Amino acid sequence: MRLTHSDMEDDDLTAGLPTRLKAEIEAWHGARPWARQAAYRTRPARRLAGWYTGPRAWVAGFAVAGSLLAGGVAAAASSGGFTIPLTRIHVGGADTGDHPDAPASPAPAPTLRPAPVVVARPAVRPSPSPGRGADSADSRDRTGAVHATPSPGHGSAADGHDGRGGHPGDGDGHPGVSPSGSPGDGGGHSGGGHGGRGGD
Amino acid sequence: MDGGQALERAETWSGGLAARHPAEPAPIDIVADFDRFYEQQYASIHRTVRGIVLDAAIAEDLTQDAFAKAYGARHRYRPDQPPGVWLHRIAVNTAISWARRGQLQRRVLEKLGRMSMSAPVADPTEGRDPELGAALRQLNPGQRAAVVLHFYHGYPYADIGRILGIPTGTVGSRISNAVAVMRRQLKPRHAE
Repeated sequence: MRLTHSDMEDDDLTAGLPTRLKAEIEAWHGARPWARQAAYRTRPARRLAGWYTGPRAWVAGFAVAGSLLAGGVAAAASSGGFTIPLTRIHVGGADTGDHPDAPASPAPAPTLRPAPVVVARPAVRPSPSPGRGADSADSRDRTGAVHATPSPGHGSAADGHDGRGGHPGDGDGHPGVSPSGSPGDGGGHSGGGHGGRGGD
Repeated sequence: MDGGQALERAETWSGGLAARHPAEPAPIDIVADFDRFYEQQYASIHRTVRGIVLDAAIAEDLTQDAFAKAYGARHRYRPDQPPGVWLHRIAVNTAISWARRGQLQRRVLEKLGRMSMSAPVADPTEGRDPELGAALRQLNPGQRAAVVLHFYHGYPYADIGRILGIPTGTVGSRISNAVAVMRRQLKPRHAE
């Protein structure tokens, strides 16, 4: 014999239970309106779209980017690490040349200009003005002799001015030495130094 | 069998079972008019699923899943049974699978002692009859499905057996056991 709904309601053992169950279940409605609006047709499409546009897509994107970056670092580390080409950096158009601490690059960068020829200048004395010999009249020794050691004249090739020699010393006793002036740089003639005056 | 014959068979089912089956209010050709079938069956399926998983939000998701599965398989529907029974079978299987996975997860979490870390989500439809809700929670998902299908939808044992994939006799014993468990749960409170 099949037990029907009404039979259960009349059963003393379950009196009231089917009615309560029916009332309880009847009260169960879908609480979220979006769930009813989400049609069965669009649900798989929404799930797929959610994967490509939702937060999970961002997480997946970051994960992929992170793995690619990690893979690149690992590959570089396994092949000897990174070499930062400091020698090929140009700042503001200036040619910085090779960095002193950087390892020598096997081949110059094609964009580099040729390195300029650097002329070493005398580092001991201050350089005099061009076209004029240094006045070394103050350089006298204790004996009164004047060692006029004029600096090289710096007459430029453009204007052809002669360099001027040093002035005579004011010694007392020994005749001064008249050194000859150094040749002017760039075609200028240097003036000869005058001899010191004899002592009394 | 073409669509016309299928609809004719469905009408036969619906006409014969309309008095007993609230889930079969009117014959619908589910292949040609699934939208109307959805509107007609949504509340019924949602309540069945809600009775199995006892969570309104999850029930909505699983109901949508069931309709999506049914829509994909609508061409494989054979009208040797009412479309509501066919749809209920899909929905109940979906819900029971989810509930069993949830039970397994809860057992694992209980073993790990982490249940206190997750606060239960408030259910806006819960609380009308908290005693009955507590009694339903004492049942396993298969028993809850049988109780909801029988006491709410009024399905006969044969249809419940078809939906749950169990023999008709097993349906009777399952419902009897479920009622006994609920009665034990409810009796102490009424005895006070």
